[in-house]
Amino acid sequence: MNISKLMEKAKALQIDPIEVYIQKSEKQSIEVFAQKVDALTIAQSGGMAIRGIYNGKMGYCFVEEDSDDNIDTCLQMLMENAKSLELDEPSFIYAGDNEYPSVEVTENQLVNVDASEKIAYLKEVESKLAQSDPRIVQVMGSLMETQQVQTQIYNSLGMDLHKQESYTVFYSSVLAQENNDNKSAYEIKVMHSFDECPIDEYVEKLKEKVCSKLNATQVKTGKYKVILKNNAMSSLLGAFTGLFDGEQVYKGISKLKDKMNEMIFDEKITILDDPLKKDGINSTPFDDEGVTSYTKTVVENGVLKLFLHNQKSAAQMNTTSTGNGFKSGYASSVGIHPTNFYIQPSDVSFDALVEQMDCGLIIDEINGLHAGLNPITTDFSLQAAGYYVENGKIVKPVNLITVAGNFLEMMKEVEVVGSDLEDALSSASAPSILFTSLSISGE
Amino acid sequence: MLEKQQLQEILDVCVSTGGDFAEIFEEKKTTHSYGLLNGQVEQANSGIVYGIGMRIYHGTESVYAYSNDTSMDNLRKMAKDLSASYDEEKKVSCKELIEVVYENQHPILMDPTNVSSEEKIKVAKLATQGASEYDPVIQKVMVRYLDEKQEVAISNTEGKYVQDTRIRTRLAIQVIAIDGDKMETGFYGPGASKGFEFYSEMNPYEAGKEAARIAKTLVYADECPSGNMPVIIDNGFGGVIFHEACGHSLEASSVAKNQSVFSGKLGEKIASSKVSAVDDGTITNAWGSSNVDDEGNFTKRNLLIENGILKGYMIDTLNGRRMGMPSTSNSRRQSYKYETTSRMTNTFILNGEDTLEEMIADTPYGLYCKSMSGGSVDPSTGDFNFAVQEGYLIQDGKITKPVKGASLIGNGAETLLKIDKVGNNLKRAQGMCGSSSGSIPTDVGQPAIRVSQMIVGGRE
Repeated sequence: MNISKLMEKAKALQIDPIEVYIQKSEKQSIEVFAQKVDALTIAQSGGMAIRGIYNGKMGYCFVEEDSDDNIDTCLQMLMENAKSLELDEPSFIYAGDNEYPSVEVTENQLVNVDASEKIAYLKEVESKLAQSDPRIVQVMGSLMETQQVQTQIYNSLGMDLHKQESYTVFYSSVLAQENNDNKSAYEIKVMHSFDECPIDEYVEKLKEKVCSKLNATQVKTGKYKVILKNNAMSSLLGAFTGLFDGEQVYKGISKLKDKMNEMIFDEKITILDDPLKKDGINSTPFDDEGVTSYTKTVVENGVLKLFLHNQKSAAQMNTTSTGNGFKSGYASSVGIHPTNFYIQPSDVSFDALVEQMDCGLIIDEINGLHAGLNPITTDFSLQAAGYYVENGKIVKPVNLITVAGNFLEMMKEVEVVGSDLEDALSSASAPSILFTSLSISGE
Repeated sequence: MLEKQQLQEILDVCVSTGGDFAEIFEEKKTTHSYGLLNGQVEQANSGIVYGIGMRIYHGTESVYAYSNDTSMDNLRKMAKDLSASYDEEKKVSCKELIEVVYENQHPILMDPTNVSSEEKIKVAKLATQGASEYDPVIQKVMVRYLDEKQEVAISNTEGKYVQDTRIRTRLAIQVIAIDGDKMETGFYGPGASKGFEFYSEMNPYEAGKEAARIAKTLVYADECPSGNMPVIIDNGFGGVIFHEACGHSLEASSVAKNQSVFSGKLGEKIASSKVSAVDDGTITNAWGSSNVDDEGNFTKRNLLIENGILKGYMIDTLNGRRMGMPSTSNSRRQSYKYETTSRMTNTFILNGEDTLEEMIADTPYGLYCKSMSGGSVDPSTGDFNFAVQEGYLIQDGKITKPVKGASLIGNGAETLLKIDKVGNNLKRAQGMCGSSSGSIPTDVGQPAIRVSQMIVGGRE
């Protein structure tokens, strides 16, 4: 679409200022199954979201067909949507900053690697997994996906921003069987080159992950000391980041709304949101409104220090945007999202954490996060699996239990924070944490 | 939309290197959404999704490409790049495309694209009113009105060209009830494959009230106890238990590769003999219905389980090739950005002979779940979970008090055999189901059922 033509027409219709957000991506995904390329997808796709201020209200619309014929339709939709709005809220389009930080990124060498090399890698992973243990009855799939995403933001106030991101993810999933017990597991890696993920190491890790869980039993219903392992802790934290969302705060939905500068968590908890982290999955020099990114402390030694804001929520609360104005897809309106949001690790290793727990449960799988937790009350009850620990040693795998609690209460009763923070595949990450007591339901 | 001749040309390029079948899915979808907070419109968005997906089969392998650039130059290039996956002699040519003409089974009375935003917002306001007038504890009412019109044209090298228009609308009502320190939410989200007429057939005010009733009940509910106990799950969205415990594991995407606990179990007893279940994409104007699936095959009513015996799977053509079985017209996808695969449509347990009253009276101690939230499953093990929205404790055959915060977990294969009562009050409810081919509208449903033993995960 011809952007200057769009902007001219918008101005004539008194849509002023106007902003265009364009996302284009190229994707290649390869899946190997039974030593054959079972599925291959190639794609170039994109979309354009347009927002502009009409009669003092922010109108939105989106379109995928990249043709000038759509300009009039788009502007009509935008005006119609702006006219529908009733809530008296501030609306902004940002002129942009003078300077933006740079983010350190490892070059993704896999963008230029021929598909045949990726296929060979996947085939090798598959056959090594299949041979790694007789209990592994099937490698259910091995997939590698490379995506390059280009984002552009233009507005009639002079903003002209571009960024290009690229990532490759790889995973394999396996099914193991013993004594009529089935267990599946997968392991995802973000990689920039084949060297970053040596096959033998990967195979060993996934084999251990699935086989150590075979013949799992339940534990008795009751209260247990629990270590939420880093991946499970990250998922749980990720489900509750809305507590820090400035919009939820001014709407009175977040339970933290009146708690600024108060002790909300145990003093061992410090949380940062760092959009400038090297190779961070959500690292970016600017947010989707073109506001500069910067590193910030959200919770410091248990004390709430900051809410995350986009321009609208910041204006509602008489503060400035924290550069957390993000869309949940090119077509959506600008909401608020954390970038690389993480609990600061300590220096206590995972093994030391297990030893310190003495007796209790390690939970490294939680399921049903979209249904089994209430992001507003922060109550949760989730399907879980892991290991039972006695005298500081893992004694058996555990499956089909639920772990239940209240996130805000639980985070006040932290016994030890671990050191094993890993790069996350989503915005939130955390090291393993030992909690004093959580409700477990089982036998 | 593209002309038949253009599609035929592209399809022919697709099969030029040895592929034995190719298919093109062209889609244009217009969506509207309005978000209201306490009766005031705070969000309005609309847009047009448009693009094309093409797929080549080579035996049981498939390759897929999609783009929003549907210029012939780009499509030719895409077809060429995609067909480069194979390097054999050409085996088939694209037959002349002939349009499949049929009678629309899901008639729309009021196309939402012709209804003004004021009218749509009025409906959302009515729902808000129903919720906020219910009780003073209802302090926040968030209503989302959504509608979409999806036009698809599906063509393939066998000469098929079929068009379908799917119009859907939904009202998603979320309510927050607050009393002092206590804060709870209630959700109710009715929808249908209907036009705007849906809102004169249902009552938006009553729908708002229903969400409010749930939230208020939960504010005064105690924590749910934990442990292993009998569970009665009522009709409507309660059917999410079958969706998770069984439905996903009967999709050919897991069955075909022996990755489901129900692979190779046709004709075997997999559920209590009281259980019969179907997947039915033909129900007039139901949320998960359409005239044709996303491969252009007419939707069907497929028997899955009859008196506990496994009778059928939900199959798409590619997995059908792997299984040596025909498609059951269950191939679905969120949009052209997803390769289509076997998915549920409207999937539910059929009526039995028991009654809800008897079930409760016959339970000395257990949990009665009046409404559920979503859940998830690992089809390879059958381990599933789903969350109870509105639950009540049963003591001595009577409902004694509301309880909150419970999840139910179990293993699908074991749980299906433990269904010891099936009621006679079948009802369906609407949900969004997420899986490999994206998020799609599906109905879940059942009459009230009782599972003799289930793990209830609460905080007490």
